[in-house]
Amino acid sequence: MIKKALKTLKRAPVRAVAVLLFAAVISMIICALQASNEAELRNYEEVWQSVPITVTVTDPTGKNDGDLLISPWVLSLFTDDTPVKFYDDSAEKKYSDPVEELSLAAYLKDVQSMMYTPISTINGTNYTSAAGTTMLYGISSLPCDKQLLPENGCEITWYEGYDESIFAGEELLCIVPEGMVERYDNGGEADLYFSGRSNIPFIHRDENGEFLWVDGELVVEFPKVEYNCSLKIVGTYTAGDEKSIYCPYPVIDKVYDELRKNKIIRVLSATLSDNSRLDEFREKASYCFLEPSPNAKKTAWGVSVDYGTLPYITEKNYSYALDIDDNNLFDLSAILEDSIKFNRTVTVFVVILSVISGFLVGFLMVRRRKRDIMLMRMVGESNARVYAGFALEQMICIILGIVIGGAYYKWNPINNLAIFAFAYFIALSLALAIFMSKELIKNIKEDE
Amino acid sequence: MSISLNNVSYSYKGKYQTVRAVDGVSYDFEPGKCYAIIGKSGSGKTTLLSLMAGLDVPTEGEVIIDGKSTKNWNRNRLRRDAVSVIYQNYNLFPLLTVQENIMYPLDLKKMSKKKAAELAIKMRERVELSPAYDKRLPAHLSGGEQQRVAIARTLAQGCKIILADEPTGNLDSTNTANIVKILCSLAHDDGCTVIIVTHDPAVAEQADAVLQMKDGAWI
Ligand SMILES: Nc1ncnc2c1ncn2[C@@H]1O[C@H](COP(=O)(O)OP(=O)(O)OP(=O)(O)O)[C@@H](O)[C@H]1O
Ligand SMILES: [Mg+2]
Repeated sequence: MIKKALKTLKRAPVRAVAVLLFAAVISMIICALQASNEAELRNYEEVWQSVPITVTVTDPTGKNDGDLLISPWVLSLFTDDTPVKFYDDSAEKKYSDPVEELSLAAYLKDVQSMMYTPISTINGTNYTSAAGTTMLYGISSLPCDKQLLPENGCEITWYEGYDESIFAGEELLCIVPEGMVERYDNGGEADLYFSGRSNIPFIHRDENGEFLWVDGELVVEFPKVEYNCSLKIVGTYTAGDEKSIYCPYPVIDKVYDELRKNKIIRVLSATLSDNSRLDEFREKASYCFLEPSPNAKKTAWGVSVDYGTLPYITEKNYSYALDIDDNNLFDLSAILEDSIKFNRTVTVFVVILSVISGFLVGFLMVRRRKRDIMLMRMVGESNARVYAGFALEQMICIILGIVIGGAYYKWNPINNLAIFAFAYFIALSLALAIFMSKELIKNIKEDE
Repeated sequence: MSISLNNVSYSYKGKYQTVRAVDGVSYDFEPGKCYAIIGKSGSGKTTLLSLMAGLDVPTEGEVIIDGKSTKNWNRNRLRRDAVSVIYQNYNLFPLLTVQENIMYPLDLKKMSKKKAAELAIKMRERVELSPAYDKRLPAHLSGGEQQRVAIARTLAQGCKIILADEPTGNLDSTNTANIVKILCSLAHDDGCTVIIVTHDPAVAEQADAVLQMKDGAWI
């Protein structure tokens, strides 16, 4: 039967090639469209991944002007793989059993933080500036303190061989206000010696690192601890408040480690490491962060001993909000989504068109072969065999056309191609059924 | 094989009107004889022939072939084994060669290729076509040659009833005489029942009996 079909096709090559080309062109269009859709989708994915989503710890109203008191557990949440334990402060034994353990570190990269401590002496003598207490700032990048940004009138002069990348490192380096260099003119050759003191509460822990309890109370101490640290000046900055010294964040982190165990971070932000996990991240973060809202009531954070130390959750104690800046992302993805939607519509349209044209061509092909079909029946071929022979012959053309037309794109999407082939097959069957349902006597008349 | 008409009527049912093309026709055709049916255009000759060929069944009455009404025949089998028709044109499969056309009915009968080819050659010789025609397509043959191939196919089919609807309508007198001679020889030499519908008095003259039709009935 296949042999017979092939012979017939060979004898009427123009017709066969026409059907084949028709199928090939349709398949090519369907596949090319799919390829473009997929490229667009990949592009979308890429763009989606490449747009940075920054998350910033703020007060409940969504602000952080660098004066926020961010507890160390928040930093741990951002940077430590070991989960932070949350306690229920309404429970009888508040801190015995954590109600939740959480780490966001896996979702974040480029954690930016800022922390500072007062300085009381420089190079051994008391130091005060006109602006008030001098502070030693640790920053992980310039934007951690807005005062250092050019748009706020700040100009940084780096000594040779240094630039802002020092903040990403952990060397004992610093930049100071211009005025201060004049006062301690050493051309950046020698180190400055800082010292200061702190009386921020320190909560004792046992040898296992767990908080220490005596008679159901935390053991808290308010030590006045001196610290010393020497830093090399590698640059100066103008403008600003003339009272701040900036060093890499890890440096001050170490100072703090020696000074007092509970650090107060002022600025904390990070970038999402995988945008596709945004929703997941948002859900996890919602456990301990509010969504910023301008009308929210500021909590009196930082005033409680516990607060600066332990994460605990009650309704009224959500003290921080997390500002997740995904505006860029959604503006952009809206545009891309529109274009993807448009492509989808075009695809549906093309598939419908392929079905219609398949139908028409299928019908036409049967019409053109009416005489053969009639003759076959006249010499006693059964309808089923006429149908099978003809359908086989036509489907060979169509399938071959699809195979050739779709080869370049690896027959993707096979389902749309199948829909097209199926439409052709249905049209063919329908036309044949209609044609053969008539008594032969009527067909003869039509033909002559 | 006998064929007889028993009060046969046939109506074309259209959307708007019904045409009674054959109206109460009866006749017994005898094997071994060549009949001619003549009549004016529209008198129902083609319709009657088609009924005998089993292309449809009569609306009233019966066409009885080999003692069995066409209503009770498996009509594919009837057309394959009992009756074959030759029309004025359009008799051949346009995409098959002369030889393949002649072999087509043998293929249906599941005859082996080799045997079928041998038989096809015999039949081709019988209608006086040279071997050069075997590989040619119908489109490249003259009208007379085409009809001869059609007859050869009918011969190969081996049916004992042969119907022809104006088989010489497009042919000149020499060709016509040739075709009629072959058709008559089928009746006289092979014992077939041959029924020819024709306008041509020269054709009718060759027949053993002439039947005339008018408005769907004999006169
Ligand atoms: N398919 C049809 N539908 C309706 N009426 C038809 C059909 N075929 C034929 N007729 C009608 O039936 C009648 C007989 O037609 P038929 O073809 O049998 O005539 P005919 O004798 O073969 O004529 P001709 O010599 O011109 O071939 C005519 O009146 C014709 O109009
Ligand atoms: Mg007629």
